Amino acid sequence: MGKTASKSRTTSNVGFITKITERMDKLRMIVLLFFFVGVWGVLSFYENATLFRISDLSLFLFDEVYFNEMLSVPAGLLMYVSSFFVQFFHYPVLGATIYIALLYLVYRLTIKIFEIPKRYCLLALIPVTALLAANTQLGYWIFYLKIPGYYYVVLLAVLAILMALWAFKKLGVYWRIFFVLSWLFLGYPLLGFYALAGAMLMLFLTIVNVDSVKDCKWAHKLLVIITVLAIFAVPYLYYHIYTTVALNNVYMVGLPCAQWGQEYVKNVEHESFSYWHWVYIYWIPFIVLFFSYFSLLAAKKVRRLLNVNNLDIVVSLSSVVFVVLFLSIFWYNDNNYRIENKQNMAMWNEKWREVADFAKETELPTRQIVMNKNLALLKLGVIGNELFSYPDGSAEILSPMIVHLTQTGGKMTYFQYGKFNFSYRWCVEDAVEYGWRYEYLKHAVRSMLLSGEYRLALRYINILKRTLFYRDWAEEMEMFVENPERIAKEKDFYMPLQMACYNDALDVDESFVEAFLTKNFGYIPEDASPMYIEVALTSAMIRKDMKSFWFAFDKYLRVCNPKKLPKHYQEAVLLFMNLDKSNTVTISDGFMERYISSSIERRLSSFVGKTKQYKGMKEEDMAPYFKEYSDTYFYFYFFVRKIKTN
Amino acid sequence: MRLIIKKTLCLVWCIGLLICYSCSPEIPERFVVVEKEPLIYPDYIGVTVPCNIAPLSFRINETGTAFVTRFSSPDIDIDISGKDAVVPLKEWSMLMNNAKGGEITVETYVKSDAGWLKYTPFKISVSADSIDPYISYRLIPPSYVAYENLSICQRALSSYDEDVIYHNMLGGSEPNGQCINCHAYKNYRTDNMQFHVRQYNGGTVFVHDGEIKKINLKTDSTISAGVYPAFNPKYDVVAYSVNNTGQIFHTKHANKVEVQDKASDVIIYNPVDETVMHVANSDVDLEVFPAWAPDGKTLYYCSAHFEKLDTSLTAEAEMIIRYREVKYDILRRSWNPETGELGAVDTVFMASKIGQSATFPRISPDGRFLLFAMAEYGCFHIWHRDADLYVMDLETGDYHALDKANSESPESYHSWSSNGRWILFASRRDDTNYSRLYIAHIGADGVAEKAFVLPQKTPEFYDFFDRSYNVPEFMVEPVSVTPQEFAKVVSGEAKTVKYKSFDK
Repeated sequence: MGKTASKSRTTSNVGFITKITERMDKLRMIVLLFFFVGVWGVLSFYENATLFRISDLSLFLFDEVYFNEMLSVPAGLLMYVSSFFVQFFHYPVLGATIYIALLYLVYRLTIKIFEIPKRYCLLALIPVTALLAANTQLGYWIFYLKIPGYYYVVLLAVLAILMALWAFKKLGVYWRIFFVLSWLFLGYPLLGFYALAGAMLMLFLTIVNVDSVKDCKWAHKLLVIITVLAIFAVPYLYYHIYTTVALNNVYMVGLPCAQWGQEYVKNVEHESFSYWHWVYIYWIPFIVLFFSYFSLLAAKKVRRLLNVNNLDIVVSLSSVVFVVLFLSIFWYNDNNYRIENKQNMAMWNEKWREVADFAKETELPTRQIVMNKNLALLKLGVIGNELFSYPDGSAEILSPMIVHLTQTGGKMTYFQYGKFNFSYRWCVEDAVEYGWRYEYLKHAVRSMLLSGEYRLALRYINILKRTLFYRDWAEEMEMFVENPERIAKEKDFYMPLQMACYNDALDVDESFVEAFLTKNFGYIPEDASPMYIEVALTSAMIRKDMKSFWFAFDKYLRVCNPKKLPKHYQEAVLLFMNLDKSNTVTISDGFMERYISSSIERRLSSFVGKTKQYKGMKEEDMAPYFKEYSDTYFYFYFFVRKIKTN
Repeated sequence: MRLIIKKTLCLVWCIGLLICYSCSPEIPERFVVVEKEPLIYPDYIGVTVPCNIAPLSFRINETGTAFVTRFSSPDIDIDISGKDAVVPLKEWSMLMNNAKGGEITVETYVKSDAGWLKYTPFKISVSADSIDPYISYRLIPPSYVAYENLSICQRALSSYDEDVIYHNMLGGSEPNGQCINCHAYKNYRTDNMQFHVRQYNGGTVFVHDGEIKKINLKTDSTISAGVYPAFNPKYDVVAYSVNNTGQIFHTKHANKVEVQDKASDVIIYNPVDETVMHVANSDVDLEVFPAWAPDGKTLYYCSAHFEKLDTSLTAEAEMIIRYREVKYDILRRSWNPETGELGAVDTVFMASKIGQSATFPRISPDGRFLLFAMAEYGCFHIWHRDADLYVMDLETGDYHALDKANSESPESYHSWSSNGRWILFASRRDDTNYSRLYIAHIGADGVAEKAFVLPQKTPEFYDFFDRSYNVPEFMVEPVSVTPQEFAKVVSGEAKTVKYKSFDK
């Protein structure tokens, strides 16, 4: 009886364990599915504007000169192929699908090559997560990184390394010597640092396996010695072949070493604490990636431990916790950054209402968001009514380096405000630093087209005609070169042309787009267009420059001859009249009746009345009590202070 | 078995022949004559080329489905099919040798919907005057302030081979970048040459009789390190300008940028005793662009008189406002190689008198002609749309524009070949922004023929190549020092020269 009971208990235990195992297998599958589908979904629909921006900040051409240029540096082929893949982010869903498919391939290869048992399969998510984090952490680095096609560089390099490792494992020790040498000699020009990393993994594999080899121990030793020597010698040898890399960089080609170092950010001061300000943080996913692979190799040594009861559950759970934590830390989740990218995408699609509306999704915007919003309101013809109805300020940029508007949106801003030479200049300057990118080429085309420099515009059009996704756009622009009279009729070019009514002068912006434009709009040319005058007027209001305001306002009334005065202009007139104690401005008879609404007069009175209640209080302390006026110029004038432009 | 192999080989041979036959272009028997020359890029129609130049590859910019081009010299015909007419190097050499002193005729056939069209044939004159085998130039993105990925390269003119002399990425990288510029040679040879490295590990890399060193030409008595160099062709000295240069941008004008010297002087460097001395250093004159006469006893340079008028402005601000008033003349001073003494200033060409600004004087190897660039104002004519090349006959003082070689876009950075029959210069005529190298034949009378762009293997190379060519120089031999050897010198310390007072 007892025996039967014991047997049935054992049977039920086995059944329970089988059930648990099956359930765990299912759970693991669900986790995997959730991970890959989830990341795909987030990239496709939440980060779509960022992905679009990443593709626009890259370039891939079907051209021999471009190909040769790419191959002139070690790791050139890797960057070339990576750039090819990055262009698919132009359509974020398509780009994300390809990206996730390749990430999944990394996962599968990791399982296969490192012989990870099925119940430990979630371990393979660790390098995959690190790979993903190497990209999701970037933030504003997308504007500054100098490695073409960075988004795919590490991923493709890891794929190449995994396949090489797989081949390496299949070979006998003598062939391995030949293989590792071939890998380094052929791989270094194509993959740069990653060829060395691959060789290091091969070396490590050899070392951890050496005990299990009964024969040819000396051959293993030889393999180790040759690999170590080759890792040092091959880059040095190639230093004498390539003329594009310094000796001290020769072992690191393909990594953003020069930029992710203290030297690059040494003069940057941050106002607040954020771990994104620490430049070395960006190396952590790389470290995790390589250590995870070394650990998976080293795990061979401790295979026996894998049989410990329930270890798979602990490992699976730990892996999931790691993935969630790691991604939540290394996913650059700055709302302002995302808004800027969404605005950028909407601007290229000429959806100006969306550009303005996105600015409401933050309480403290960056200057880029504010400038984009102002531009949109001007385009929509509602700047006089809506300019101060949005959040304003100058949020600090979360990045270790100084981020200038010239890189994040200055080219677009200059173009739209008719400063074609400056838009073009920054395309060229940035092309020198970061290489030509779709975004720069498009701005160069439009700027030179509207400058009347058709031959130069055509040069960039011809380059864009060699791309996969901008061919049609380029052909559309080519039509303007062939029929320049159509430029003035094009709706999208109306504002830039209206704004280009100034005379040439020698000037310099020192990388400060907003300050330069604000200073420029302090001067109104004789034959200024109505739109230019309106920009000058609003610019004076933003500067809180009463003298410039009255000058621009006078011009506005005479040139634009408005039937009705927009709300904010009424507010400014009333406010400046109140502030003008010495009565330097004379208002003509009937002006107030014709242009100033009584409701706005009442609002100013109540605002002034309320300020008396808080007399003696500092302006920043008073601001919260005046939120009801936050859509007025009065509020902006008194409470929006200390704006720092970048 | 042997029979099978033999048969297979025979079959392969026959297929090969068939492929070759089907690929070799055939001049159409029937065609309609089009009374105009074909549109080709680069434009090689009617140019004069040296007999030792690389093949002039071009693209036929006519609409068609098939293209055949025939290059004919008196005894040789070469037929090429395809939109890109690219003649193989070996066949081109034979063709050029056969046409030396004569002409090549180029016939173009284009297959349109209506059948084959034959365009009016055009000629390429093949001069018996050879050209120096090498040139060197700097490749630089046409940027303003930013610099990265700069290289000084040398190119064999009879082929497409290009080598790097020095690349700035060899000696510096982010954030310690290097700007490299102003390569120069003594007498077209490379055992005495120099180039500058700016910013990180800056200095002048100087090859003196084959020995490489790095020097610092900045002294307490000079406003900067050496800038525009000129090796004395006979004596062991080098003239330099020293400049305080700035850039400022046009908000609207197509010239886009003004490069201005706020101050500049001319010095002479003696590499033997490592000293520099002033040649010209007036406070109210901007002296720049030194150039030696072939006898090494006369130094030419440019000078602009610019006096500050507005006391309320800084000198810099005033120059920005009055930038159009800065006009350079060409002056010269005799130089005694024994004593180092300089003669009185002699005005060679007073461009300012005709409301112009003349820069970059270059004397022909026979000493007869002065080649210079001229535009309305300023010194950096490569950014001035109206800049053209001119030649002055130093015997008569007459000067003329090189009309056939010039274009509506800027021309500048010119140099003479060692036999004085060719000039090499940078021009932005292709797209107004990227400077390309053009070569023009120049006759004994100083009149230049139509210029042609430096040939490249791929006709559309210039459409996609994103760097400008500047400071082109002829060389009779290549630089033999490797880029890595230069990099080693660049990474070392620079020896600072001493200033020698003129009076001493």
